[in-house]
Amino acid sequence: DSVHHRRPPPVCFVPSRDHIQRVVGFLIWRVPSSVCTKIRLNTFKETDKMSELTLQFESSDDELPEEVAFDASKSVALKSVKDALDAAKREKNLLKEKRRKKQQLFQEQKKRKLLPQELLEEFDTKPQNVHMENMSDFSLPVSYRVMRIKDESAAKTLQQRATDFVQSRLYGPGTKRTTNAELLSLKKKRGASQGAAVEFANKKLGACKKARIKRSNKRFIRQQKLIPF
Amino acid sequence: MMSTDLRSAMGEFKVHRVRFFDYMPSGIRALAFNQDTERMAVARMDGSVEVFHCSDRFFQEKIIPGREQCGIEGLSWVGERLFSAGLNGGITEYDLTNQKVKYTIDAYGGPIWTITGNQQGTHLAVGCEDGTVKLFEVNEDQIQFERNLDRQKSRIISLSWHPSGSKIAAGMMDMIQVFNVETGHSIHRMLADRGAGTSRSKECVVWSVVYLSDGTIITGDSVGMVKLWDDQTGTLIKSHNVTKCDVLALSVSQNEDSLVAGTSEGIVVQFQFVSMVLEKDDKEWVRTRTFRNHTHDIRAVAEITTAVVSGGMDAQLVVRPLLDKIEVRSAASALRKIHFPHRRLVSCARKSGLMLFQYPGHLELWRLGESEGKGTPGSSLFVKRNPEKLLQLKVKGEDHIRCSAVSPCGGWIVYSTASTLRLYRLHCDNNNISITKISKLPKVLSSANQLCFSSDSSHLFSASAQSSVHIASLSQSGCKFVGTLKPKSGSHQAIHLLAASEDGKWLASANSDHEVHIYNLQTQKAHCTVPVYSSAVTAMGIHPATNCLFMMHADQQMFEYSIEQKQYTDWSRTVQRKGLHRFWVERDTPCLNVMFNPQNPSHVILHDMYMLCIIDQSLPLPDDKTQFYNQLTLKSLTEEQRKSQSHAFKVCKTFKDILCVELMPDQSLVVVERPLEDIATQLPAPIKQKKFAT
Repeated sequence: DSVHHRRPPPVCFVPSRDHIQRVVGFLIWRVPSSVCTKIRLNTFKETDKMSELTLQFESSDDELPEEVAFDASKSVALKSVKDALDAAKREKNLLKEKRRKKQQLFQEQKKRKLLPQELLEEFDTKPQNVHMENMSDFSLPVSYRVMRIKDESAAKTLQQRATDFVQSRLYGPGTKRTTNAELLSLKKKRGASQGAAVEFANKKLGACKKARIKRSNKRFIRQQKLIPF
Repeated sequence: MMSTDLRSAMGEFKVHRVRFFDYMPSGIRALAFNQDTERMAVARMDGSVEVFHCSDRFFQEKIIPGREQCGIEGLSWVGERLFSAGLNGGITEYDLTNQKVKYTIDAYGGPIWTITGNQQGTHLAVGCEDGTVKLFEVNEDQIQFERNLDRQKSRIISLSWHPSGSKIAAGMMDMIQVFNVETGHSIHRMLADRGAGTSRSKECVVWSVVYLSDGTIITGDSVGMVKLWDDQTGTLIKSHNVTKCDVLALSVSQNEDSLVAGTSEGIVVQFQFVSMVLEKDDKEWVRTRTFRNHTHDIRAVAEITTAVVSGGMDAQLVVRPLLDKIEVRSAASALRKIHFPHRRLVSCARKSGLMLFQYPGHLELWRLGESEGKGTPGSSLFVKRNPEKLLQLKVKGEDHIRCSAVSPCGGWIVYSTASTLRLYRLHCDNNNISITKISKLPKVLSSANQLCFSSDSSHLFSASAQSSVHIASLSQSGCKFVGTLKPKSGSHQAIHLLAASEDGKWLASANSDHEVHIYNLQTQKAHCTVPVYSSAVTAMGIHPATNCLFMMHADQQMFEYSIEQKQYTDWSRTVQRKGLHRFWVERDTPCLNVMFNPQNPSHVILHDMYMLCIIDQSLPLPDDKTQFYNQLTLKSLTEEQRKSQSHAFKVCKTFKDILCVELMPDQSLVVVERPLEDIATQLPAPIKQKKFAT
């Protein structure tokens, strides 16, 4: 008889028998249509997420599975999907409204920032008083070039920006870098003749830093009058 | 500075160990291999470009100095011409004969990230910051802008031509695009995955791309993946996770069966196109070897016929031979690391105890210290007066110094950049230093490839274009042009070595075409030419008493040529007939200086990066069975036994990382060392690597 077929094994973890309404995730069951199973659909009422559908499967080996009409469950499923779609549409419209309002606000701010229209018109009509000298009269010494200040600084910034990009990708945040002193000290530690870390063995390393620390220590001792004199 | 007493069978020497030359090499940014001429071009972070001869023991044949704010990013050979491009937005062609920049043209695309030439040698493609791939046609004397390919929204970081020249693959931010060169349109757009974790928020930079002839595109990106793409379908075939940090460089071999990838951690990974099952034809790219020869980021790799060459921020050029491609075990099959340049950066004013150090942007003049007392061999002597820095001379302008020299008397300093030459008069009495620039220089002295003073400091020799040497006389009234020495025939290659004789009669010059010309200074005419040898000259000197020219070559061979008799000396012929000892020939760093000892005419003093050697021409030559490094053994023998056991080559290995050795008139040696550890402490930050048990 088709009703008492063995249930196919689940693809993922079966929830506990406690009837806790939880998000279980999507259980994929290959259930032949002849086997009737009790499936309850719970859509979230708090959030409007359309993709999360919870399935909770109650199974029991003892009792006969309840019969649920296919049509009823189908209409319930369709309705929940339609609800989710509607909710998504509503949200989209809301965001659209917000964006339109923001755009309007920016336009107004821009209008306020610009000079009043009259002033701009005045500049347009004012005649150009500057006379350009006849270019042929003007000659530069052979080794000189003419360059606009704008162009010069723009070009340099581009190169500087490119260098900064490479620097930040290789040495910037997110990269795991260490110091050369640590690299050398590690080599010494695992090397044939094991010795102290490079900062201690090599007096020249960080000499200025050590000198600065020494000076500040001296100052501290003097200030705190730690050594009676 | 330390003073050591070095006494052995070599003779007694007081040694000044100088460690105050803070030489810092510049990191390697790009490599380009020329298959036909077997030359490797290397671009450094400071903008200098060097050309190494791969089959002549990787001798550094040519050096083109850099300049400030250069930002070089890529190199490309087109035939025998060399081009570079950088963040300053320009494409530069180099004049390799005269070792300088030929011209620079602006690409008008903003900073340029990559430059590559097609296999046909007709076009150059550059990838720009503004998202365009620009094509330039390579004409006979210049390059000319042809057109842009379709402009993209993000910057073009890397480019690779398909061997047919019809398609070009571009690595950009978060994606790879394949362009049809003829139409300029993008055929495929492949998205690079940003990876998991923290790297999701940053764009994935496709640092390097390689286009194979079968349509496979291989990319290395900032997530640490080497990915293989198919250009027919525009999809990912396979991806290999090579490292946690960035894969910065890729290079494929000539016959497309091997690929090497360089990473930020300093490892080089090799992939080979092999079939997983023996005798089956289905091949795939399989990761094979890992090379750990670097400590810092590897910015460039190149696979040459028999080796993998890599270079990066630790400033050393590493040549790792692929042992499956080498048949005979020889000096060529050993791992080679090139740390120091193959040019002298230190010159010495012997008569006044002054040393001139050449930095890229300035010169430093130091006076040596004094010690007192005698000590036992190998001990440190008490330093009576410390060495002091007398002068720091900064270069005006953005060009870096190409060569410099101080006169033997210590009264003149000269240096040259690519565009200028400056001469200074130096007055030094005990505590007062004064320096005056000689403003009126002869017009021909505009730029020099090499500079040298005569032994009496009366003349300046300046090697310039067309393998010629200009002579200028120096006196209280200034500098006057005297004449030009031109070779009778031969090449126009730039001169990289000059040697003047002690008596002021002869001058020898060596150029990059292995030609050594000897000139008679009294008649200002060419005297003779030494027969051309297959290996480049790395050091030469003229013996003060016999006027014999002693030459050391890159393959460690030595020749002695008598100038007056115009032929090789008997000793030199004996050396060639007998052959040099295996240990001598297998040394992997070149000798950079040849000196003579006036008190002992049969001695020739040489040094390379790891040893100091005195060749005693009066002693017998060692053969292969003799113990080569026998100084310690000789010490333990009696006087009689020593006489029978010693041979001509007395090698001292006490000093390491030697930049220069000089012999002072008071029989003291000056050894300028630059410990590699000191350089390592000032390099950029390395990647943190987790090592077991630390």
